[in-house]
Amino acid sequence: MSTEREMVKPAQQAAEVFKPGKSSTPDVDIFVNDDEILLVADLPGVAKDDLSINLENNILTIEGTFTGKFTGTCQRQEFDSTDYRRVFTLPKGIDAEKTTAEFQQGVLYLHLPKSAAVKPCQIEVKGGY
Amino acid sequence: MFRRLNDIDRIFGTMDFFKNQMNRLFEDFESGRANFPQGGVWPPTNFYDDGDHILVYSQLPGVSEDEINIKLHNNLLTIKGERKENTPEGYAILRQERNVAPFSRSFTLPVEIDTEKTSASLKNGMLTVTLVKAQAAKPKKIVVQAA
Repeated sequence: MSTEREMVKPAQQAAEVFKPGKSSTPDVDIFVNDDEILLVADLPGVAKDDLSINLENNILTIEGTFTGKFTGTCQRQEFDSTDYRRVFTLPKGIDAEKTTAEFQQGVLYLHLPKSAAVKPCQIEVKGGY
Repeated sequence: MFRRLNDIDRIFGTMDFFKNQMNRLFEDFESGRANFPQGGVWPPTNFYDDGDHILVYSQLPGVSEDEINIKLHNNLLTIKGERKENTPEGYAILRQERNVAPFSRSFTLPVEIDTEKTSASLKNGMLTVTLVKAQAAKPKKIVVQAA
């Protein structure tokens, strides 16, 4: 399990990007089973086309842009247009080719399947006599 | 053992969060947004006034239409709902940051609302409530007449 724990390093360690405007870190849940790692991220207000997921070597970058289209004068403001960005270091043995993503209601579901080499397997004990 | 290390990591994560908040304190103050609610208040909500309407924007990712309950009583607007616990079956939790608690926020509106014409929509996890102001509360143009 030690390799999976590495993924949960603070996101702040990732390099900053030079970009105007506010940026924020989306909240994520990470689940794991024998077959895959499932990453769930809240990206409210981001359109599907404004979302980019990049997997390079073992660095996973999730980026999304939310452009608030508010009409009228502001009476109260608790959130604003923002660039979401979060970077993860993936453990070894992720099958990058088979990674799939769904995006529903502002929530991203990213399935990162483990490659066959790291999947747990049962070892059969052969009886002697 | 693994669980505990994860907790320690979260504590440090929280400390980092506070550090960043402190660093941003003056930045936020200068931009006039020092009174952003910090934690505990969910969902974040914006209010805009375009003259004839009051527009309410809420960030509700992963909440479906039937899980949101919007009530308007006199001039008290309540947005209520619950984001369901969504741990998929057969998975171990490695990290959980997303809010799953029931939420409720109430706002006293500054003007009278025409309750018949109220509408709400949900797109990409963003709720937009359009409240139409009552006739009496709408802005009126005053024409200046030449003497």
